[in-house]
Amino acid sequence: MTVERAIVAMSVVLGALLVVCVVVGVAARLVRRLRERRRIRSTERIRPLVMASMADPQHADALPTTGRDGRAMRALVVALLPKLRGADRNELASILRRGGQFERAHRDLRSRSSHRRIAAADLLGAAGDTSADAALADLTRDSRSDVRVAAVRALGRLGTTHGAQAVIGALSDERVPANTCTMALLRMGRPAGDALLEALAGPSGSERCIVADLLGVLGTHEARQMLEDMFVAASDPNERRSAAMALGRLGDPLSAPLLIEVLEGELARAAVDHDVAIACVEALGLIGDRRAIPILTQTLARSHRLSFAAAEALAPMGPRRSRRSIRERDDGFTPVTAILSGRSSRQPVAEHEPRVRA
Amino acid sequence: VSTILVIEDDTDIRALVEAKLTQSGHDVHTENDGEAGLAAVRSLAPDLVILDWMLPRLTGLEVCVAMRADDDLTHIPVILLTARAQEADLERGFAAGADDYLTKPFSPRELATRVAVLLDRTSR
Repeated sequence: MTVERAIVAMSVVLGALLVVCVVVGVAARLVRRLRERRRIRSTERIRPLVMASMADPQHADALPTTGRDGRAMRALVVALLPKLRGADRNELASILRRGGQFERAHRDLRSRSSHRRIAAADLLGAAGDTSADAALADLTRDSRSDVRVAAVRALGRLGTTHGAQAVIGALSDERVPANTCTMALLRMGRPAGDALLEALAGPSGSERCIVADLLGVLGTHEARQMLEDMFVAASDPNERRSAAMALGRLGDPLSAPLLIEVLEGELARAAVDHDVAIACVEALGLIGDRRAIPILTQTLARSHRLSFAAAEALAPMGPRRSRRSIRERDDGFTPVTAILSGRSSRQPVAEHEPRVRA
Repeated sequence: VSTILVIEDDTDIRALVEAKLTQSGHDVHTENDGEAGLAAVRSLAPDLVILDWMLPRLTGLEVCVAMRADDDLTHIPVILLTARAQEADLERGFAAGADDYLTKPFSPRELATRVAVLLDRTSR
């Protein structure tokens, strides 16, 4: 009897708990929905005021700076700033400055609330306030990963050398996605190039690979010698591949002899490192130096992947000579005919990846 | 006063372009998807269309091609306002029949100037 009562009591308690959970869940959802509706209404109310302020700065005094409307105004301006350039962008940023929003954001970077730290980083980054770079660099080591990500994003928009160094530091941070860092560095352009040059001699191999890739994409020509050294000295094939591709992207003909020499060496080996050889071929194709035509022509007779890469590299290299080289080697082999007929060869490579021709 | 139709799905950009062109003295109408935009082009017969590329339902490029294929709409100048900034995208945009091409992030003042120039050129 006692056991039965205990079971009944337990069931009642569990049932009551379930009901409470459902009620709390529904209430939380309702509150979220209500807040979202209020936010949307607030934004709709503020939008015409922001637009009017851009047209006539005198209207900026009417903009709310505190409370829900103040938050909506800041969110709207932060969303608008990256979509604009020129005088209107500057006007929008100065609306924030005049309203004391920059000072407030600087204070909020040290707020206990992570939401505030994120909102402040977003605002200062979008408005391009370079005086915030040191504080944002500190935030890349925040206790919360979403704040770190916001800081990296903001530093990418600021584009300062100090910020670039902090973002490069975040490359080794597992809590910040690598693509957030690379996008930030690419956005920075030149200042990132200077900091990346220093990082190319860093201790982490995977980081050096990313740095080499970025230097190539950014076209940092000062990196050529360092990338060539990395290409020759690195023992990790990934590093060699990244260095080769970066050299290709830089497109400096001075790198062609080294790439040709390494490719010749690879082709002479019994066990060709396909990844390194293909990186050499692709880099030579990007550089477009005609001294590479003989070795690339020779590569047409190698494995399927290599011949495909060589055909791709040769195709744009010269109107007559390289095309003749491809045709001379064209014995009905798919990649070569595909390229000669103007079709993209990328898809067939993927489809026939495992097929290797001896 | 010229009638300008802005077809753009980004609310902020739509409001901004509307405010800027209204300030320049134009009568501005807006739509937020390609299908409604094309219907509005047919019903309004605007003097100029500002068109985003990446639109729901019909892309900006499809709207542009449809306009150029319609004898009643083919004369209406189109400015493509898009985040697609690659050279090949620009070629595709002009091949679809756009008269001008502006990439995002953009300058609203530059857009207003281009609108004025295009309207002036077509009114001659």
